[in-house]
Amino acid sequence: MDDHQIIEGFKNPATKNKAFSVLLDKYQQRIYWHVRKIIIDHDDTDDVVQDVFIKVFKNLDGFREASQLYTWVYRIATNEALTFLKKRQRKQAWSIDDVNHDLENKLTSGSYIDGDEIQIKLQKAILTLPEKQKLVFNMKYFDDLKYEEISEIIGTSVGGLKANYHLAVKKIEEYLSED
Amino acid sequence: MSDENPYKKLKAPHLKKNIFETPEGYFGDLKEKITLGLVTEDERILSSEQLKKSIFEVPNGYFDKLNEKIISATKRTEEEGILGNETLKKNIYSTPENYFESLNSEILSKVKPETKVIPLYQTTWFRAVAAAVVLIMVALLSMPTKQLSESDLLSEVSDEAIINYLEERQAIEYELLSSVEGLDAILDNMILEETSSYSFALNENPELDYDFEYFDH
Repeated sequence: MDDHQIIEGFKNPATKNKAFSVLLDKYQQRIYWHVRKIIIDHDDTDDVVQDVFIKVFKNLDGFREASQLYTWVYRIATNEALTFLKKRQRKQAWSIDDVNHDLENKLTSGSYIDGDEIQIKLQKAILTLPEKQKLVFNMKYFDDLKYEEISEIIGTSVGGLKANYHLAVKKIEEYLSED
Repeated sequence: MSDENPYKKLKAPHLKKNIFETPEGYFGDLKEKITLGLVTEDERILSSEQLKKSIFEVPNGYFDKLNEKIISATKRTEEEGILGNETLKKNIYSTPENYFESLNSEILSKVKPETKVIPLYQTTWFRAVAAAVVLIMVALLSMPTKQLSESDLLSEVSDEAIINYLEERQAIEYELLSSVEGLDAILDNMILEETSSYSFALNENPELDYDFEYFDH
């Protein structure tokens, strides 16, 4: 079942659940890892991923395939993940530094994380980036998405994304070179 | 008299006569002198065409390849830098065992409310409202026969406040009781309206829905 078939299947009440199940099988892991890299903590990610797919379920009827299904799902996931961090920041009356500090703590002492020193350092370096650079870097470096796809997901021009990625790479290289 | 009228003297034509002079033929040579003065000794040497010839050279075809080199330089930072190290791309995060297997069914159970419809009379809020109604009915019925101590207590509250309170409660109860059946329809409508306007906005103008105004800070 390709994306178009999933969308068509979802419109038919008889095949709706089957189509959604296929969509879940196809995208849940990619979306999970995407969100996990933003939120770091497994349990928080679990909550957000469920919300993402519940939103997808509620809104897929109105999806008109102006963009690709998976960039649309990525978009919802990105938004949900960032909203989650923003909500917690507001709730705890944190500054953005506090948020990053909290994420860094989770990175070093959280469960379900297994990386060597340099791999952890890379994740810490990513945390120091402004949000957009962080997103572009993750999607380009780890997920191998094309700029055109990232552009659909976070709504920035391809040129702007290239500049953001270049800046991100530069900052991360500098961070990794420090002792 | 001259003190009283000083300007009269200044008006005399001979006062305007230029009393300064130049050597003979001065203005004839001036232009040439200025032109010469501008060209310094050094410049006269530097103006030599031979000196203008560049002594620097570039390898053959250098400029043809320059563009390409600049473009690939951005890629090189990644490929040859620390980030080019493939082990860095390893996913360091993991999940509890069988997480994804259970995630699927967990989400499915949450998006299919029709599989576990809770009857209205079983919902907590309905029970709470029912209990409140019963309590208020009891209070209303038993009020006339109440002991003095209670009316004493009530007398501390103004009649107006009590009337307002009771009227308000009754209005709410009446509304709830008369539209218990309509409630579900109202909720459905609200949800439908919300999701349809959401998906409409999302598809008509995705940028509007997910406005990433918080990306840059």
